[in-house]
Amino acid sequence: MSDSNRTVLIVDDDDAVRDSLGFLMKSIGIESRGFASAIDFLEFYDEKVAGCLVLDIRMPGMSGLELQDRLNEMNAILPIIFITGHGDVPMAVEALKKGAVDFIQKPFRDQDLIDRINHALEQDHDSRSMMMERRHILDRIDGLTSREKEVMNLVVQGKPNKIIAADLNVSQRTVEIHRARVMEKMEASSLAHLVRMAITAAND
Amino acid sequence: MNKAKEVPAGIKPEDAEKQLAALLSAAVNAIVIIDAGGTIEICNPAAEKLFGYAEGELRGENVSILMPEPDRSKHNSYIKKYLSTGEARIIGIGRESEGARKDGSRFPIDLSVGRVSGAEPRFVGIIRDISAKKKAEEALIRERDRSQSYLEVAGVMLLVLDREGNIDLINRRGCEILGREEEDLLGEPWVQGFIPEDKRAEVTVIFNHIIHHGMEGYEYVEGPVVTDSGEIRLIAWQNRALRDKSGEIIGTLSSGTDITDQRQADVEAEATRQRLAQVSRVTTLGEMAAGLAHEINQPLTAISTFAQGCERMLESRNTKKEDFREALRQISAQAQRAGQVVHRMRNFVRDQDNERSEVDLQELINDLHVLVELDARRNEVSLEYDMPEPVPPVMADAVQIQQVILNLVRNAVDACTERERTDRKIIICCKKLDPDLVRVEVADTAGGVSEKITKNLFTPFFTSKEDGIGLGLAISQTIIAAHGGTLSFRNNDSGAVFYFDLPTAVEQRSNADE
Repeated sequence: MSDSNRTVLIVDDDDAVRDSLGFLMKSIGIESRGFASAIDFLEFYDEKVAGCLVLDIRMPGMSGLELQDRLNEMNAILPIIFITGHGDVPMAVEALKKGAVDFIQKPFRDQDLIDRINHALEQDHDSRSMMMERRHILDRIDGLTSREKEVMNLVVQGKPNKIIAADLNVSQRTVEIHRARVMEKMEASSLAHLVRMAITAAND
Repeated sequence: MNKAKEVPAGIKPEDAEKQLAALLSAAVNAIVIIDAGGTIEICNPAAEKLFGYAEGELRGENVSILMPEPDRSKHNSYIKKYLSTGEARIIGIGRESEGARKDGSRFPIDLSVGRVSGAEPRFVGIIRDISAKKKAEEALIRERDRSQSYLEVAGVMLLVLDREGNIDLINRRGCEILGREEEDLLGEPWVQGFIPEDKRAEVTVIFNHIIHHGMEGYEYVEGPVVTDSGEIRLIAWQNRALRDKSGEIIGTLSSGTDITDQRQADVEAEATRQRLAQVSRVTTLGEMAAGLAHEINQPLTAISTFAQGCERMLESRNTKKEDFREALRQISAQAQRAGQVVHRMRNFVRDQDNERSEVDLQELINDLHVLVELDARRNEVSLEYDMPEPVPPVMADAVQIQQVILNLVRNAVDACTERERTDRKIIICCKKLDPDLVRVEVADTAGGVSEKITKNLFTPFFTSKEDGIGLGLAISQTIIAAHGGTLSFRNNDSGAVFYFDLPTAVEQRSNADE
């Protein structure tokens, strides 16, 4: 993922605060987009949008916490930084428990917010990369024959070819051929690499 | 010689005897002549009739039978004492006494006794039945006593002043209030003695007006008096002019009620009401403190973020002037926004006197927005304003009316929090009802007021809230009533609507002119 298509999504019903955040993002060269309500944001939202969400915790209509719930239900990975007012700490703690990456109290030092945003963007980048990688691995696994999948399964369990041949009731040579095809199709540089990919694929 | 003296010249002794007999029988009063031993020598028919005896029955009897005890037993000793000492108890003096009839009944008499001159002392008694007079007197005394007791037990102060303004009569309550004895007060000049110096001229004018022109306009007046201890008491007076037979005013009769305590209680009640209103206002603000911090935080956050953005942009090469201009414009606007929050807050909390002035209710509602919006925001209630056209000004105490509106909105917010978040809405409406009335309505979507609560809505200390003290609506209603309006409510399809109408300033002026 390149930096160019990541966006800081700002949801705050206060026009001035929202605009000022957009201005700050602009000053450091980060794309941003503002939304006046949680509903507006949900209309726009797509899991393909990369970046992070800067979210006001209190809003009329749907609150920031409720928007977080909705996104969690949708298995969204978009990191959320909550902006809280004075005395909203208990709400912020609740938000963190539900998976928000951070919160920041108004008014804040720009550097603090920028640090948090950068951190969130990195996290988003990492999780998106991981998600992409896993998707690729799963695609490759899909390209294996069922016999190759059986062999790969036994290989990553650390079983030697002889045992695998016995388990599958085939010749050791046949196992060697399947194993080579698995390494090739999976684009695995080593046994260790294949094991890592197997683990990634198994991770939900 | 003596006889010649007793009987006018030219009248013969036997004629004198006849004349005496005629005189005795003609006399209306009873006449009895006794000797020194008290024996009746002569009595006239009137005497016999008065005491209930037959003709001739009394002659020779001791006069004491005409008296009740203890005089009856002692009468002889009275005569003896007089004869031996010459000390007259009754002779030549006369007095009221009691007589006893033959049947033993007693009656009041007027008795005059004279000594008939001569060697042997004899006495003549003239007796008049004064039962009727006595009865009348007693009735009069009873009447007087009754009046006196009315005067005395009267809870009010009664005061009669003569034409010169001196005290002619004052009852016990009056003496108590003034702290002086009745005898010290009678004849005293009222205005100089008992009216505070700064009120004397005014009271003199009123008194002189009553004396010379009658009462009209002064039937009821309130004013202070000074007591003996120098204390000032406020008296409410009912006044009457006192007239003589010819109709001329000869003085004044006033009944006064000491309303000092009552008035003090009124003042205290008013002070309490104001204090409560103030407490309620402050409590409201206290509850909102966190939200207020938020409200001021918003512009501050925007300002600081814009400023920091500018700083960063300075370091970047490809920044446009236009970006800075927009950021600076925003910074200035947000600084003013923060200032307004502070300003409106201060106006709102200030404990100003209830000074009424021409108030634009829509402007007042706009001023409240900061506070109202806060509360709504904190509870995720959306707020709408319905002010279709400008309204004429009303005469009002802006702070008090704001208090009422804030109160209604807070109630609406509280009610809304019991609903789903998406259903939470409050509409504040201010419109001209007719040319003379401006209506303010606060409507919510909280389902309305239940019938159970309805009848106690405006009752002080009645509350349906767990942490409420039940004064909000009661105070609000008082305030609106004081402004000549009524605070009412109705349920509509989605919730409750609390509303009040205030007369426009123009309407109030024209009423005052009538």
